Amino acid sequence: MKRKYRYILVMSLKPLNGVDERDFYAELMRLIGELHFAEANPKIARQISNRLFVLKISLSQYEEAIAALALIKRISGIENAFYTIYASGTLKAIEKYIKSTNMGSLIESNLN
Amino acid sequence: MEYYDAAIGMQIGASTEKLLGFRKIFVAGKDFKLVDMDFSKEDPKNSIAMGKTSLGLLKASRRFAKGIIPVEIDVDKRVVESIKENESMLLIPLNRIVSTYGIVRARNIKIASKVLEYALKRRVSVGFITMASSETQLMSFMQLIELAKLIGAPEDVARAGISEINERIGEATP
Repeated sequence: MKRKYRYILVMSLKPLNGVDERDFYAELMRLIGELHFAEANPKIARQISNRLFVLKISLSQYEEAIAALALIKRISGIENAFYTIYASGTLKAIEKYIKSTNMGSLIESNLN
Repeated sequence: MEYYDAAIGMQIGASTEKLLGFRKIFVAGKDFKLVDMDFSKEDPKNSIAMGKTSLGLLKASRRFAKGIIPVEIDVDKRVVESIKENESMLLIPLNRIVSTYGIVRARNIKIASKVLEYALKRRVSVGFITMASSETQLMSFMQLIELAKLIGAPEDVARAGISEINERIGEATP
């Protein structure tokens, strides 16, 4: 049976320059557990900016992943936070959302 | 449905609220009156009361505080009963889960689950807030809903608990 995925638009508090992607996955795995991580099969589907990316995750583990993202407070030894902004079944819908909300300028004007 | 949150000791811009999906993030002292029952002698009537001890929280609910925040989540059943009797709202601060780690976090999740289970059983009005004191403790409305579900709130209760705090916190003007 074909596995269904969800795409989650995630924003980090601080820029992710220099952060190893594997550290992010390791932190996610620590929070959702090895077995659930395998089921979740998370993957950064698109890096939009240094603070914004799209996480592709199995539909069955989607809710756990959203909660887990709220609990990540440190990545590669640097304090950070991850906010889930929007979720959809397609990447196209995420892109449309980014355009319609003028996400770039919103990020510029807040949090840092 | 519109969602609201409450924070303490920080500045929050309109763009942050919009990005995180909230209609408004209320800030203690600026948008609502917060009375610390452990230190303050102020009357908590029509304000939001917070405290660590059950005695202080019990006093606050008897004095008609609009909302009760058990800072360490763990509250006596008598407090929950009193919140129900006085038609107040139990506001569960999820920063206790977000800002802790490992065993302490697991313990806080368990405590929050037990408190929530009892409150829902007694049909007490329950709200979920981050009570964030820094940007790392903030979260989006989606994350707030999922954390409320993590401690055992059904989806509709989680959504209502984040939406209805406006009626309590919004009216507790400083």
